[in-house]
Amino acid sequence: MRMKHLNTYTAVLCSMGVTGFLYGLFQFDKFYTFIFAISLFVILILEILPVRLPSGDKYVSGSVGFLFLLVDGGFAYSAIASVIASYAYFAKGLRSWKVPLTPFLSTAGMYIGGLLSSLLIWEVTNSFPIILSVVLVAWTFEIVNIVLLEFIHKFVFGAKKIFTKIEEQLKETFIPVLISAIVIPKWYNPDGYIEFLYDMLYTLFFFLLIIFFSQQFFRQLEARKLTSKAFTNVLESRIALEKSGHGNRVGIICEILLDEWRYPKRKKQDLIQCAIVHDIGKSLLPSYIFRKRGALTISEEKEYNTHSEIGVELLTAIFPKNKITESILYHHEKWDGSGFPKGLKGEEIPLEARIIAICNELDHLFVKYNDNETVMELLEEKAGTLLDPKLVGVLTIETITNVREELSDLLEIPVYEKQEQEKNVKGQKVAKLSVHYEAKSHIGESLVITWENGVYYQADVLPFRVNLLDELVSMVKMRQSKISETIQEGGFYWEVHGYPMNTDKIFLFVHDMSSMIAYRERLETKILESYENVIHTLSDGKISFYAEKEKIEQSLGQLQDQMKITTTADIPKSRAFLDVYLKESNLELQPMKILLAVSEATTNLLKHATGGEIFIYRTIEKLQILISDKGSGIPLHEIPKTILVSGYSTKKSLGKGFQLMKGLSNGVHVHTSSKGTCILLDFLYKTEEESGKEKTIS
Amino acid sequence: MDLVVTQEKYDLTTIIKIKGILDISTTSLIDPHLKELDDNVEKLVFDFSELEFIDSTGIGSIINAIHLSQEKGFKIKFINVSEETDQIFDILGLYQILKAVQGEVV
Repeated sequence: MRMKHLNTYTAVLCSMGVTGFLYGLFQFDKFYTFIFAISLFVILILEILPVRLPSGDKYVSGSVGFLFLLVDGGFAYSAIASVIASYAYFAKGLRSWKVPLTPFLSTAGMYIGGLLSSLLIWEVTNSFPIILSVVLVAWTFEIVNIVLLEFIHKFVFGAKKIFTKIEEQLKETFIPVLISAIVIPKWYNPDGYIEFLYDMLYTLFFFLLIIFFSQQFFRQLEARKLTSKAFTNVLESRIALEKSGHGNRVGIICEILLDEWRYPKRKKQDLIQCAIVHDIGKSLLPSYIFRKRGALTISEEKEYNTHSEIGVELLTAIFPKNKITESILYHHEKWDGSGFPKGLKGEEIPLEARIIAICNELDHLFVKYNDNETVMELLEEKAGTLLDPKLVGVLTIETITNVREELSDLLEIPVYEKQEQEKNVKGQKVAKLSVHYEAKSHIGESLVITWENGVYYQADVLPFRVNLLDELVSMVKMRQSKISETIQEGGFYWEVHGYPMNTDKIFLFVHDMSSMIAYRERLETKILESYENVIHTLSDGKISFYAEKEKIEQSLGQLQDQMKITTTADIPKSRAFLDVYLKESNLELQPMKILLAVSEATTNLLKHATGGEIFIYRTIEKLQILISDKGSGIPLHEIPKTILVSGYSTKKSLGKGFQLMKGLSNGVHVHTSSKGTCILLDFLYKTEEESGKEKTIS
Repeated sequence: MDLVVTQEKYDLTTIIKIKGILDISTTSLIDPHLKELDDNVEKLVFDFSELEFIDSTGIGSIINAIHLSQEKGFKIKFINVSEETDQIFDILGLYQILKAVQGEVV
């Protein structure tokens, strides 16, 4: 999809550019050559070295030069200078003397348009005090340029919405207008050539200083902002897909609400950054803590409670301004004093932490509830216990509605459909991406996306929301170097590499890595299989570990009965349940051993998972008791220790569970995975010979 | 009640009798009794005559008592231990712990 460079609009601009240039040449008067030359020199330097603005845009300060020429020498000189300056800009950007004609001339045309408008204003105001008329002239120039540029976005790059950043852009005209107001009157009507040269070079020197510092400062600021955002996204995708984007949303909520609370503007940015990364400490916790269903082990609980402290340490490294990073440390404190880490109460908790607590809570409510009234109610319920009642009191239902609107794009998790093979404009086959939500085997594919001046090309074939690439793009654009990122969505996993072509064009290579991730999972399965052998051997064949649940399920006989286990009271109940069965079934078995072994397994279930079920099966030779849960399983690295080592426990217990089960039964079969754990205990019926033998437990 | 714990005090000896089942659902009932022990107790006796069931979690609470005995300096004795209970104590190494702490199994 090539952009349509030459269309009616650009044709008009180009002709303006050409006409202006020719007119200028025609009107050129030799006596002005010196001033023109020096001005052009300064303009070219400023054109090549832009000033970086907070919005991420660049301010090309060369326009100060043309405006000077406009008011001092006349339209002709400014016209020539602006055309030459446009050429220099493109030549520098593309690093070649060959410059695409249409963009270049359109830009020149834009400048000419601006200059003509400014000329009009100058004619009207040149009797005013010089500073005032310069301000008006400069402002007109900037505004006309903004308008013409927005139309270029629309007619050339096919932007659907223009003037979206208009407020910010208007605010930013302040800088060029200010610079013009300071500089142009100084240069205007010089007393002599030497004075003029001196003034020009002096000002140029200051310009260069500002440019240098702005580049450094904003580069740092951007880098930090983007690092923390990227960081937050990575760590959030480790936590849980449903939660991803939480950090960014809390940041946005914070930004809006800070106005409601009239928080001092100069501290605003820092607090917003902290809001975005408030859970950063969690990135240092093993990710399985967040996926765990069931109680955390003691060490896991301790680690979870320290994540706010870890977070502060991490952040102090990224943002060395201590006061606000403390707000992260205390964001889990509660207004009524029952929070952690220090149990601070009321206004003891720093204001920033109280703010983040509210924004955090609000995001959770937005994700769960669609109704704004409900959100408001629930938020108010928490005022006084969890949240600061004064801060909550300032918020109204209108505020909530407003915030939700701002978040509306980010709150949806997309579902995408099948994509078909497509041909691009050149007739070449674009890489096919058939992405089906249920697809399990998906051979990794690659595609190339071009980003140019804010628009993505080939975006309609993309399997994920294209704005996920925005941050990578701005980093690449700013650093002008290759940067890679990973994107996770809906169970798929992509690697994206961005290559800068020039300041306004970036190539993005997207590779589907989902199959590699699947490979990692298969590796896990291989590890589990190796455990099968180890455990079997080391337990003298009494304990068998299975990587696949099916193997246990296949060995089951006839189901006799079953019971659910959810609370501790169910443990003795399950024994009674089993006891009744044993008595009624009249099997030759020692009830005590069975009840004890089962008690171990069921207690285990309650300690590590949220609940499960116990099943009684029978075969011809044995009784089988199956205890299974839907917890998050025994972590991979804990499996051997948990099963084999006597006295090892991840909770406060004797750690003898498996040993006991092994000793009391005729066989223990274990399977565990992230979907749950199941333990099968075998009890062989005694034969008549064995009845006579002693009952000691082996 | 699945577990009834009674305490009788004689001079420097306290007898705690355990009636019923001692598992994860009932072990918490023993703790208050351990807290109530006088500081000058010299001997703590556990009477298991009416113990119906005990598993490793239940034994965990007995071990708590053993730790307490080490802290406060009294001896622990088990009486009326049934054969089954005796086997379980043995497997779980309760006697070994007792021996390690007070040097004898009384």
